[in-house]
Amino acid sequence: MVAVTAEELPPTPGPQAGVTITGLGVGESVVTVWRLSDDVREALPGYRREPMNDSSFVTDYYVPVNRPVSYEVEVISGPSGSDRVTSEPITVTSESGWLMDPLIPQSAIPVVGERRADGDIYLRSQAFASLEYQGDVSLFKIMGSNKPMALFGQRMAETGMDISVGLQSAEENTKLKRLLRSTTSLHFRPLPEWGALDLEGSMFLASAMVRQTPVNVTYGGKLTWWDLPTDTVQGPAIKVLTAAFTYGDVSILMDTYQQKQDLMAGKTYLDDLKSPLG
Amino acid sequence: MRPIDEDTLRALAGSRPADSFIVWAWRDGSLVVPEPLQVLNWSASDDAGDSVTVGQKVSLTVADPDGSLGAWRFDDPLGVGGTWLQLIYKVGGGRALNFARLRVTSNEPTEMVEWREIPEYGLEEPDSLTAPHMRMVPVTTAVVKLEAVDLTFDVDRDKLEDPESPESDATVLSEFRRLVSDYFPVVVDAGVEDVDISRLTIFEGERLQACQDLADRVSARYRMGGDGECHVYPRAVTPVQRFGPNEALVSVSRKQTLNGLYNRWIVEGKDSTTDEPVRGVVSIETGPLRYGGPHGRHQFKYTSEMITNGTQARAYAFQLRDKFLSSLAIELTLETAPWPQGQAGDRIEVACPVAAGYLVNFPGDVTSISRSGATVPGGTTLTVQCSYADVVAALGRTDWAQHLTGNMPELTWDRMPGTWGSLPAIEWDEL
Repeated sequence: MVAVTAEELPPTPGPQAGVTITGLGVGESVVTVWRLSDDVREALPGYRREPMNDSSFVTDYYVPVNRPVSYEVEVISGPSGSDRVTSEPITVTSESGWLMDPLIPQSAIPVVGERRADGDIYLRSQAFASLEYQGDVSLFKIMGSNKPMALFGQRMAETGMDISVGLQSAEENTKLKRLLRSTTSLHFRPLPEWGALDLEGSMFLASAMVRQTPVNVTYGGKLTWWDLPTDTVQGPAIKVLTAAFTYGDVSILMDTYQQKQDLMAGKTYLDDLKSPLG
Repeated sequence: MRPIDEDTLRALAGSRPADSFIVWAWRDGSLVVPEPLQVLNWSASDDAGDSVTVGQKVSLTVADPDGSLGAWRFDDPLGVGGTWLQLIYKVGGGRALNFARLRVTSNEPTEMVEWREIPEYGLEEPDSLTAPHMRMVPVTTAVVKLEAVDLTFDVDRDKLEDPESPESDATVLSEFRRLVSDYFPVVVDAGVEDVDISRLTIFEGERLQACQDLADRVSARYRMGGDGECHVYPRAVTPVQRFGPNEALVSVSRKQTLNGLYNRWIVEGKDSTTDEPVRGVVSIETGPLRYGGPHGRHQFKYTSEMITNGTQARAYAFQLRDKFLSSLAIELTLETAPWPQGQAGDRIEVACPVAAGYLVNFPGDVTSISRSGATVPGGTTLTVQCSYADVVAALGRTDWAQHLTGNMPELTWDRMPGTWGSLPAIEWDEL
């Protein structure tokens, strides 16, 4: 009997959810993990037609915050045939929205709507000032008719979306700058309470250009503005590049392999996936 | 023309959600990519003519978000080793029609590489730009440009290793079927008359050209249908589609050139017994192209050892002239709204506005179609050959006049001629 449970994981580096899949049966199953939230059904990046054996643990680094989320496990093929099981909804809570490199979750940076402390990275007034939805239309001016025939293309998700931020902390600025310099693709998690924008809870953005304006930094201040015009894009098809816990971490933390084995004594492979340090 | 249902045909006539291509990639009877390819843009050409062997060519750019579709090995998902594409044209708001099956002939990825530095404990490369225990990982996303051609291409590559001759009870069409039997089924369209074939016929070398010759013997041509079947279709047929004002036509253009307008044919040979030269000369004697008339003199010369007496030479010159006159054509270039069911080789009718102030209906053969599109389809360009005789005949007709009847509208004041004068005085005695 295939079962799926979802849980909120400790929010380091950013909010995360864990999905435990059990009862697939012994042998190779091909599984797609879908996330359902805000009427959006989306596959987790890298988890389309993923081979699994009996049970697995999947970390969703992109979980939308402060809204109900559930996970659907679709077994496409496996020892007990195809199946479709949905987890109970969970809500991953967070005080802030989050910005990160979609391939490196360790780069997650909180973004707030309203500045309360010096370290806050806050959205500036121009952020979300307007959202644009483009679509292609092809017109054919048919001879003899004064109304062209039109073929309507699909309306695209938000383009020209401004998520410009400001901040008054040199330390936070370094983190943000490192993130923006390392990647042109961003993952953004807005809070549901940010106006009636109806943004999806988990957005992948392309930011071709960013502009840093050190407002008063050269004469001793800390205020920096970042202009971030972005376009909504599809998420990556691959998994994240850096797992939260790697084989390298194991070899740093333990002297011998026996230590690791002792640590996991009596535990299952699934336990190891969830909590490598026992 | 590809088969199309009534509802889809109606959808094609008006505004609608954009049409799109659904493309599946296959090899050896199974899908090589589990989902339809994400087509970013496409262009397709379709040609028909006496010298065209492989008619349909398609170029597609597909999205490859995880870099798995660009080929390295021949048996990679979209590698050229046996991959073929099934193209289904989805008409917005209507149903779909099977467009083509095509063999992938080239795979050209354009990869975007971005780099990430990630921890890799233990990695210490000498003289590396990266710090110890860190590794630079390239992340590639790509678009892949695929070129594909219809399945007659497979027949074209498969040469006849030894000369072959037909079996004793063979016909032209049974021989056609035999030559392509390893590749696709053959459908003979209505109007093609099969004839017997001599056992002395020898096929040598080119398999597809042998097929072309066979089709030619029954006044037919071949082309691939949307389901991977080969159609042998007759050359002269009734129009299957009409383009004109309010009938999907955007524009029509034409061009007349002087090139190749001969008016005298000279055939030369050598008498087999006396070695004296023999000669046959035939000219166009009337009309605008007459020899020595305002068009001037433009000779076509043919010399052959096979011509051995004057009668032969003259007969062949006549044959050349008649062939020239029947091949005289006016080529129209039509821009139209999408016409996915159309195929090169179809006969159509073009309603063309002329300076005289009415529409003239020209019948013609579609010799080439080019289509392209991205998220929304662009227009379709058709090249249509209208025979010179048909055009001249059509220009002399006023088709609209056949609808003139004896019925007249009611006589009202606004229909009065301008010279009628002023209105009669009205007496306002009812106030």
